[in-house]
Amino acid sequence: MKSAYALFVVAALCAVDAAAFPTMVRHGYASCQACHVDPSGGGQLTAYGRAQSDLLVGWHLDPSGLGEGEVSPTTGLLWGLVTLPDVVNISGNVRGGGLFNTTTTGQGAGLRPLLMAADLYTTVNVEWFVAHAAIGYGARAVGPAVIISDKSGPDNALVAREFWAGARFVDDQLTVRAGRIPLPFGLRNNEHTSLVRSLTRTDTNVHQQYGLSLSWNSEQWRGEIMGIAGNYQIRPDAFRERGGVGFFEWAFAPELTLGASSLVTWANADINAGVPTLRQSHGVFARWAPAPWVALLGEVDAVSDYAAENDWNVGAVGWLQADFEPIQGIHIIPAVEAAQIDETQALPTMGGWLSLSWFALPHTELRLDSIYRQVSPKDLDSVGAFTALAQVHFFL
Amino acid sequence: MRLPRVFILAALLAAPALFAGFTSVGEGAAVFKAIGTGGFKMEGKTKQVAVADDNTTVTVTVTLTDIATGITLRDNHTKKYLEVEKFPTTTLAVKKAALKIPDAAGPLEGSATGSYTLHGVTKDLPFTYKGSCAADGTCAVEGSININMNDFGVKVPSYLGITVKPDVVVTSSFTVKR
Repeated sequence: MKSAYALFVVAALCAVDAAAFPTMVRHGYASCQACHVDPSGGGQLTAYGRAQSDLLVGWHLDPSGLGEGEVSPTTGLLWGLVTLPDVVNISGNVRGGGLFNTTTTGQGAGLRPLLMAADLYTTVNVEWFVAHAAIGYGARAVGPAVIISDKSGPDNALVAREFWAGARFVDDQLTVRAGRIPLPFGLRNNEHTSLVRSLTRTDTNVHQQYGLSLSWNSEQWRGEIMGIAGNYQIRPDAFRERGGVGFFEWAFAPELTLGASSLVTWANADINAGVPTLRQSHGVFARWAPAPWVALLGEVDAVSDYAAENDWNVGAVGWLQADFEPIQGIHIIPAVEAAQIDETQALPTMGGWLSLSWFALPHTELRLDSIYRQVSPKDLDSVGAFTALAQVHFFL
Repeated sequence: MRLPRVFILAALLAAPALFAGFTSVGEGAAVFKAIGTGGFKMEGKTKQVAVADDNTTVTVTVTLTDIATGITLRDNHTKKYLEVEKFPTTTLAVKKAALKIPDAAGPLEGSATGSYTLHGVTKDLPFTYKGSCAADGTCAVEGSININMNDFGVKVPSYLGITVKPDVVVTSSFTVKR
């Protein structure tokens, strides 16, 4: 039993993915849509976002002349080697590195290479019409996003994390879209294995769902509501969660936002528990940059699931992260997390993160993550798991 | 009845003080708030605010050459659209009689119409102001005016798919002493 817990904890710490920058609030960007194709942020960059990646995100050996001329041509596709018409946006997202795991019980220890993402993004935007798709290779644990896999399993598969088509109105403030869409809930943080993302199943790695959404981005507030029709990349139909999800975020100042999220889904057979389950998550989140060199992100969610044969499971999960950027392009990112989900835990699951990120070259991030998480099941010894991850991320 | 000579002299000496204009005290601040497509917003800020008062007209002058938006390239683009080399300042001139200024300490608040000049074009525009005056004659004032870039011949900025809306809110705060 103890080994099973240890393996669970290790599995939950496998990777950091995605490319979202909720910390851009430090530059007064409370809204994400100017820089990202997705109106609620994360994933593929727009042409404007590519420019900001050079001006505000990337490290420069000599930043003194930054912005004196126009942005570097290297912000373009494949470092500027390819020029596309304005209506087409193609880019890539590749993350790979090495992962080291160990636990206090000795289970799952080892070092192995890891390809976290190898996706091709394409967006077509003609006037009000916009269509977006991401397709790629998933090496491991990508089950909910799989289209084709060699053994119908969650590894070594062709994945389609998101694809949607829609329309933009009211000076692009209103977006209506349908397809496989990231769930609009909480912080769209990079750390998709963080407890707030994994326990609410709202990460942008594999937990997108099919549905219809409306999003709004104005200078003062943004939000998105989505009707969830289920994930049609999993079978049988009983596993598909249906319901609704949404968030609302108010910018009290360009550098300070407060938001609230809510999710309610029903599945005839929960993909983990296998029984009919009503799942809910409701919470608040905040972003604050008290100075340009630091951004704070926080999220607290109440989570519950009701399985008809068992009763309510009620708990809470939280995340607090500080992103220090002493020099542009170099980030020191500590974070703490905690979760108490049900009565099977003697103590809350606790986690600590320390990450270093260096946007060393255009479209290139070098990142080190160290994560320690401790699980304390009732009537069993606590199990701790440590993960170290070194990765190179190209957002081409 | 003749006024004593000394009384006339005293009145002449006191007149400039009684009708003395406002002079700036310390640094001011001006902020230009613009929004664009898809929830985009930007703020251009400068501390170069000067107030002049010739007893008839109060003129607030904001120098645009150092306007800062948080991104150097965007600063340069903003200055290019505003043609700051040719038109380095923007001004609001308002008749002093149109302003409600307390004689002693107290709050001040009101609205008026002034001549706003930007990009070499002058338009009469309404504006609001509020603040307070202290017993020592200093008044802290914040004013706000809504402008449309099209009215002043400023080309609407557009950059890599983001287009700024022509409506801009300009706020200016400063302290003056009478």
